[in-house]
This record gives sequence, structure tokens and C-alpha cells, in this order.
Amino acid sequence: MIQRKVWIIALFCALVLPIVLPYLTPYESNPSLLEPARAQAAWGCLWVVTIAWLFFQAARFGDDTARSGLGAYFLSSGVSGLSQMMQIWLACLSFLLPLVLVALAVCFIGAMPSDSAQAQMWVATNLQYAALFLLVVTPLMMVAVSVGSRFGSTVGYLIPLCMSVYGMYGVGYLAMMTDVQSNLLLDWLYIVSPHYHLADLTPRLVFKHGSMLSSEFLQLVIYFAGIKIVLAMLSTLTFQPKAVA
Amino acid sequence: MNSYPAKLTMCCALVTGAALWGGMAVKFASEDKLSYEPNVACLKGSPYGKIFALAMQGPIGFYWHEGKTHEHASTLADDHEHHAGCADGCHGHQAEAAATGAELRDGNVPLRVRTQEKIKQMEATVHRKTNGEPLSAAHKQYIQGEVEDKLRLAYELDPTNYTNYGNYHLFLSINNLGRAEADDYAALGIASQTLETCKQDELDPASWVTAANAAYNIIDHIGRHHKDYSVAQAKASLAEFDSCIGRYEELLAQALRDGRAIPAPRLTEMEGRVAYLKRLRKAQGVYMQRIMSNDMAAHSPHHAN
Repeated sequence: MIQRKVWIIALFCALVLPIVLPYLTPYESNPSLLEPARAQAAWGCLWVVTIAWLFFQAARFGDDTARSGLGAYFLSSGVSGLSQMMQIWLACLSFLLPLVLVALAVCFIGAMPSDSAQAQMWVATNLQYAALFLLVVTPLMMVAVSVGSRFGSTVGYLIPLCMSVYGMYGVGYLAMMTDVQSNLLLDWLYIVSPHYHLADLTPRLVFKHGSMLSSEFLQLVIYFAGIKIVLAMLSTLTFQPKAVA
Repeated sequence: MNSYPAKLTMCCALVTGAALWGGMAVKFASEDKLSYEPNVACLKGSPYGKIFALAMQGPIGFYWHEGKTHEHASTLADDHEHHAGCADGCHGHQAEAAATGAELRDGNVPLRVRTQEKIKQMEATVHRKTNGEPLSAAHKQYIQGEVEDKLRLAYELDPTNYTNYGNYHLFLSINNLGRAEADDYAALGIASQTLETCKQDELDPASWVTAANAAYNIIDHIGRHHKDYSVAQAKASLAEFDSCIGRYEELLAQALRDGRAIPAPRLTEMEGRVAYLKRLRKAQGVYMQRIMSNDMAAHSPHHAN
């Protein structure tokens, strides 16, 4: 009954790990570690599940549509390529959104501060985080679908995977390089790289920094919306509903 | 999709997106908002960092001993023969210890114990060094770099862990494994930074052991470089240490009152460290008193005894 149901693993990671993992910390001597550890595990698991599993699913759906002839069939029945891509992408979102809700639920139920002002800030931070997270991963999911349909699921998976890891951590190492030796090309490469680490608000939750100032949050939304538009357009150009022999 | 308006729309959207992306990126770069140090999964300084900080101690020992651990060394050294080093406890014989004396005398060691021993031995043989040549200077320097990186990482994962802080501080303040020279000022920087971080902790007495350790390192630094410091600074450093010990004792009593479980070995370790630090402080206090009244008084405007 549970064979071939990968969502069970994903749900396990997103729901059970944030409950279990905090008990590995030395919480006996310092009980205040539990709440931040839950929030950290919830968001950490969400990132891992999205990058490791959902991008792969998206790429495979794109690949399957083109390879199986389903895309060609829909095309002949009047469903345009753009519409097909959007529908596959929305299908992927139907996995992603419940997982985001699970992460929020873990933070709201398992780690809510008791003080009302703090609680309000905690909710705001989590909602800001959810918004930025979705702005980062949903365009990458579209890239996975479209590249998967044209170049196959492996390439379709690797490209968003590399982009997200590069944007989260790679650019930080690039910054270290540019700090050591100033190079015009590297400096510009650094600036125009997708700075996905800006959307990672985990430290704000772990170290209780409070919510972001709304003006600064808005700037980030505009920045990621820009990346989203570019990636969406490139995905539309790349998507190929029927495989070329 | 191929119609002219569709293409135009896409082009406009691409340009708009790129303009928003690039414009904001340039704005962020000018405000220095893009610079950051990668902290994978926010582990450094987090509750999980505390676990990984403990786990780092194994790999550090592995590099420090040039590719083997204490356990490998003792397993290879004895190959079931007791040696001089076994007097103060030999890791290699832990499995044997699990069997009773009577079983060992009869040669009737349980299969479980023998198998454990065999696996340990095999693991040790994988790390047996057969090359008699000593390491080159460059190679030693490389290992020293690796040890330093690992010590720093362990420290950054949990700056309040006294073992990792102590190891990293010691590494910075000695010259070993081909280090050109000890870096007293880097060590002082780490001590001050650790003291500040640990003082934020209002719950865990262990953080205050680390704070006291860092405070002692600062006293020691002032003692060795007393010409650069005033008497007031020296006195403040001693008072800082005493207040850390006081806070440790308060928090420990509080934790025990609250019924928070502190594992017995950890408690013994903390108590041992604190007792050791107090002894060091006592001896250092006498030395500091002497230099404060002899050497420092001459150049200090704040001397008030």
C-alpha cells in the first residue's frame, strides 16, 4: 500500500524530523534550545525536501510529458505549450504548498513565544520567510519543468539544484575569493548572481532577530520578483511539449 | 506563442525582470547587503551546532595524530599484548574488559567480544602507517592548516563549548606542527569574543565555565604583556573572572533546583574544570599582585592600592 509513495518520505521529513531532531540537542540542561531547534529543523527540512525531491519531481514531469507523447497529444487538442507548462508547475506546487504549511504549523504550534508581542513578531517573521522561500523555489521549479521537457530529467534536475546551492552558499565562497583579490569580472559576476541566501531567514528564527523591516522586506520581494520574471520567461522559451526525435 | 505580440510581451517581461533583478542587486551591493559568510543550514551557533561541535572532536584528533586516533594507536601497539601504556587505561582493551575475568582465564571469550575486538583491529590496520619516512615540512604545514580549520569550525559551531574553545585557544597560543609563531593577539581576540558570547547565556552553567576559561586567558595575557596594560585593567580582568565563577555557581544551583538533568560525567567535568581554573586564578592572582605593585605601578596612572 505504501510502495512507490515518495510523499510519505517527504511528509516524514517535514513533519516528524522537526519533532524528533530537537531532542538530540543538549536540551536537558538548557530547555530554551527546543523551540529554536524546532523552527530550524522545520525550515531546514523544507529546503532539503524541496531541493532534493520536488525539483526532481518537476524535472521528471516535464521529461515525461514530452517523452510519453502526452504533450504532443495536448498540443493537438489545442492546449498550448505555455498552458501545459503552467499546469505541470501548478501540479508541483500542490506538493510544495502543503509542505510549507507544515513548516509554518511546526513553528506556530511547537515554537510559539508566550509573550504576545513576541508571538506577533514570530508569526510575521515566519510569514515573511514563507513568502521569500516561495519566491525563490517556485521559479526554479518552473526551470526544472521546462529544462526537463527539452533536455531530460537529469539535466532538468541538476540545473535548478546547482542554481539553488550556488545562490545559497556558492556566492558566499565567491565573495571570499573577490575579497582576497579584486577582479572586475568576478565582482560583477558576484553582483548579478542570484543571491538566494537573502531569502534564508533561518538565522532570524534561531537567534530571535525579529521580523524584517517592511521596507527592506519589500526590496527583497522586488529583487526576487525580478529573478522570477526572468526565469519564467526563459522557462517559457525552453519548454518543449513534444520530444524531437 | 509565435505571434508577434506574444514575442514582444515576452521580450518586455524579460527586460523588466532583468532590470528589477539587476537594479536591486546593484542597490544591495552599494549598501553592502550582499556580503555574508556562508553558514550551511544555519548550523554555526545553533542548537544543532552544539552536537556537531562535539562530533568535530574526533576528526580533529585524527588530523592531530597524523591520520590515526588514540584507539588505533593502542590497538596496533598491543595486538592483544598488554604494554606499559595500558597502566592508565588502554582503549584497545575495552572489549576485553567487557568479558569477565573468569571467561578470559578460561580462554572462553564470548563471540560478541571477540568480534568487536576483530572489527576494531581491522579498523586500526586500515590506518597502520608503513611508511617510515617522517612528514616533510610542507606536508606538516598542510596538516597544521587542516587542524586549524577544523578547530575553528568546531569553535564556530558552538563558541560556548569549553573543550572546543580551550583547544582552539591553545592552538592559537602555541607553536606546534610547524607553525611559524604563536599568535597571542589572535588568541586574545578569541578569548574576548568568547567571553562576550558566553555572558549572554542565562541558563546553561557550562557556558559560564567557558566564560571563566576565556576570562582566565585574558588575565594570563595581561600578566605576560603587563607593560601594555594599566593596573585598573588588570584588576578588572581578575574581577571579571571572579564574577564568571560566581555566575556559574548561581546557574548551576538554579539548574539543580529546577531539576534540569545535567549528566553526571558532564557535571564532574565542569566541576573539575572550575576547580582547576580557581587554582590557576589563585596562583595567577599572587603573580598579578606582585607585578601590579612592582612593574605596573611605575607606568600606570590608575594605580590605587
